[in-house]
Amino acid sequence: MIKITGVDKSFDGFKALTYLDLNVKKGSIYGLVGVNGAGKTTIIKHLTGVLKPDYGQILIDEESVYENIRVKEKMGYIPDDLYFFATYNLKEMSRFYRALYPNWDQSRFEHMIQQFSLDPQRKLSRFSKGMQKQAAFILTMSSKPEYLILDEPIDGLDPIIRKLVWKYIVEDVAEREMTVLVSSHNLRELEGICDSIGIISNGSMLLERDLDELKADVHKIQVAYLARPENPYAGLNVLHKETRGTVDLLIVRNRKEVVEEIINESNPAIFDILPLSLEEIFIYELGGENNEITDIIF
Amino acid sequence: MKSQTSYFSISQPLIRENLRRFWAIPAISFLIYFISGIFPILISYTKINIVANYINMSLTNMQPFYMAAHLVMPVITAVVLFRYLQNGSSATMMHALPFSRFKLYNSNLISGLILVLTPVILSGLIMLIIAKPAYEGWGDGPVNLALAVDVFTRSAILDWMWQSTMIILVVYAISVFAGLVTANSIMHFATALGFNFLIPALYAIFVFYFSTYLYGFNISGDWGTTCLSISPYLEVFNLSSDGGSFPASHQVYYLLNALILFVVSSFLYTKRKLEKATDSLAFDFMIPIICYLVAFFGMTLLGQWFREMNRDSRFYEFAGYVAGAFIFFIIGRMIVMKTPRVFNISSLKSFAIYVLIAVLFLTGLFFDVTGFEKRVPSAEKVTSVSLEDSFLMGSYNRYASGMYQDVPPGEFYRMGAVFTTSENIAAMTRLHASLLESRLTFEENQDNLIQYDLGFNYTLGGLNTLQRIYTVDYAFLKNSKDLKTLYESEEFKNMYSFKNLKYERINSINIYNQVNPVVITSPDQVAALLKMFDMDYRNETYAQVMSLELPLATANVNYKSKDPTTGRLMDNATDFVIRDSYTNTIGWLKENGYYDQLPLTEEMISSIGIFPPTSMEAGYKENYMGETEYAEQLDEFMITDKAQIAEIMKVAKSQSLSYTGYYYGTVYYNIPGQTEATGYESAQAIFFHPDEVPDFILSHFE
Repeated sequence: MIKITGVDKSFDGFKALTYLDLNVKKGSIYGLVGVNGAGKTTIIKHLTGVLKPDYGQILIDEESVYENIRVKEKMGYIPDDLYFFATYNLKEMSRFYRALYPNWDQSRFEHMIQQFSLDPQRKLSRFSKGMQKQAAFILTMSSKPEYLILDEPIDGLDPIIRKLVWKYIVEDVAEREMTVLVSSHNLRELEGICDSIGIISNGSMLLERDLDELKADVHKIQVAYLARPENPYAGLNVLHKETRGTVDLLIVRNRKEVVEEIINESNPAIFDILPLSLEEIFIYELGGENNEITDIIF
Repeated sequence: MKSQTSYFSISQPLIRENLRRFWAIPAISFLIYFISGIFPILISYTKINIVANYINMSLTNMQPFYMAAHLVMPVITAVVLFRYLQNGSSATMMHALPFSRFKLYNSNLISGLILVLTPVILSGLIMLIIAKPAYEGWGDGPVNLALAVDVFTRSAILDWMWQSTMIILVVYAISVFAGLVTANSIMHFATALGFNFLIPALYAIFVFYFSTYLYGFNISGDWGTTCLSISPYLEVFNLSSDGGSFPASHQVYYLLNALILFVVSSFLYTKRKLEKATDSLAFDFMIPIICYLVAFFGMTLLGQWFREMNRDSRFYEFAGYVAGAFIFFIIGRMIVMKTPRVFNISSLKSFAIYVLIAVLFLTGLFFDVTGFEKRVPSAEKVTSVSLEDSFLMGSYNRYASGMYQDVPPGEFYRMGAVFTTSENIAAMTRLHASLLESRLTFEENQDNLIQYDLGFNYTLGGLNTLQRIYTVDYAFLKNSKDLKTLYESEEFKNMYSFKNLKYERINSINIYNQVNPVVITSPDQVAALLKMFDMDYRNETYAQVMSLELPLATANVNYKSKDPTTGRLMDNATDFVIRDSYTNTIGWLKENGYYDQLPLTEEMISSIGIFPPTSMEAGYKENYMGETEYAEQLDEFMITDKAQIAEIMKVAKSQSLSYTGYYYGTVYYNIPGQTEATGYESAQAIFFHPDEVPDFILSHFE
């Protein structure tokens, strides 16, 4: 489990993180979302032991990360800005990783190279940015981390490779209870993969919630009546309402059973519960007027 | 788990990868050592004496390729090893890997040590294998094995290895430190090179300031030696070409230096903010330091540049200081802030602090706030004091030979007379005080008199010393009662007695009077003559020492002595002049039939050429000619009349007292058997003191 409590960090007077809390359950996938400059990479660098917080605590399995080799050995990190030893190829880098990570899986490494169709003898500096990202992913996943930290992991990857990357991640989460924290400035990217989401803004955690919990509580319904009763939506907790002709489109926050019960009592001609995207949940959950959220979604 | 985060933990995989990645550095180093050092030995292996001098140069680290490798390779090694700190992505990646900061630092540090020291060790081992006697001789002729010394010994090679190791270790330690305080590779490389010479350079600049503004500050001797010994890289130049090792205390200092720098760098590593990568400097405290250093160097440079434009006006000098400080502060600020946008309040505040420091420093010097210039130690506190008298040393070779005293290796400048008796110490402090009273006379030197150095080196008990040097004129020296006390003292006479000459054997004494050489080789006669000379020397008064009359003859004592550094047997020589007052010497020469050849008569002189006092100055001013070139164009007054020659020789002096306004000339001697046959003449320069110029010369030039 990852637990970040009250982390503050300033760079030359600029406050990059302000009393930031973050919690990731073991074996879950956590999406860290925020606009450019929100502090995503900064908190990730704290989480990987690169930076030391001015204040606050960063614990993984209840151990501090900073200067803790044992924790770092369990962690895989793929930064947005990659680095490999100059002149090294994938095979040479794997030799280095193999010596550093006790859980290194050579057969997985070889299998992944084939699957991603990368030449292990070719200099990494000659790889395209996307291929370098794949190489970093192969190296990290071959070390079989218990914690995987990904900073903008799929930037520059084609859709097939993206799918492959997510497949590996989901499989490891399912099979090995790997815990994943993935940062992105695009909610749509994370929607289908994350168990929980944290939105970071100006160095603070704006919102942190389980996706299931969100989806269980927020519903998009459309309702039409032959004879509209008086005040049919009382007690529904309507977040948003639109009327298109005779059809009302509502976003409501309530338990599904309660919603069904209230609407059915008013004998609607049409009553459908529609799928709600993560974007919509956030828009309506946060009132739809928060610029940060709008920036993330659109 | 403790071992993983301990101060001394290392990562073998990282060291292994570093060696794999950077193997080219030691390979190139080794090639430099091999091709410039070992290869010439191998190709001359059967006639190794040919390269003996070169071998000696290499093994004393005076060989330029060795010195270049000693400096550049450790700097490059530190730069490439710690380059990951100077870039955001690499710094992030490396610190996200399962390493602690200590582990990363230690592993890179050790990788570097292996990379920089392996070539020296390997080259040393090869040389140890191929070592065989190589004799270094003198001159172009065949090597005289009896005199020559084997320079290619195993101990010399081991010395080279140890000396090189110390140099490389310190250069590498400084370069690692530079890497920790800088935040990009260009700054790292520049500061690594700069820091290696920073302290000696600052030391030299401060010495320069002190010597410029503090009356009596002694720039020679200890200062230069100390400056060079600050860095082992420069210490090599302190050792003579005959080699030798660094003094043991210096070795300890260098090793401690390296160790402290490694520890400080380790501490800085843990405090380094990785987000500073790609800035100029990694620590804010370094910003004013580097900025002020740049400003200080620039201020000094421009200040002295302007001073040279007009030495008579302090305004130029100050204008240079102000301009230099301002311009170079801005440059320094731009470098450390990595932006041209430095014209802001913060920079102004920083500049104000610098100006305050600079003003305090310069005014402190100008007004001698420490009382340096007036300080004369109390005689009771002085345990010994040496006097370096450039008149004495320049006029008489034997006082400058350094062969009458035990001179510590590498301190050849300590050739002055050392006084330890209370009477002489008191005389020295009185002399020092009297000299300060006449300071203005010496500084202004309105008559443009020739001046001589008087250096005082006091030992004040323990390691405390006080060194001063002044320029004085001949009249001061001649009329000083204290100098008379000193030079006529038993202590001084004992010091330069021939009994104290450090020789193994005396080969010959050659007595020369410009015309007739007398050579005495019989050991008995040599010993007897030296005994007589010693008696005369002991009876010689200070007035006689200061006499500028032409001596009867000069005796050249040729002897063999041991070099104090290497123990080698060296040819050496010391002179003594034979004056008319040397009655014992002259008596012995007469008794043994040598004297008749010595006195110079007007018959031996074919002519004397006299030049007027202003001719040389006018020639320089008008034509900017060289002395020889101009002398050919001078209106030389040639005198052949024997009576006039006799008159001239009565008043001729061996030295002039002034740089201007003096008559001078050349005496041409007939050498029996040679001048008639070949036209060759012996020549001797003579000078006239202003009130002693013969009338016929004065009237000639009127």
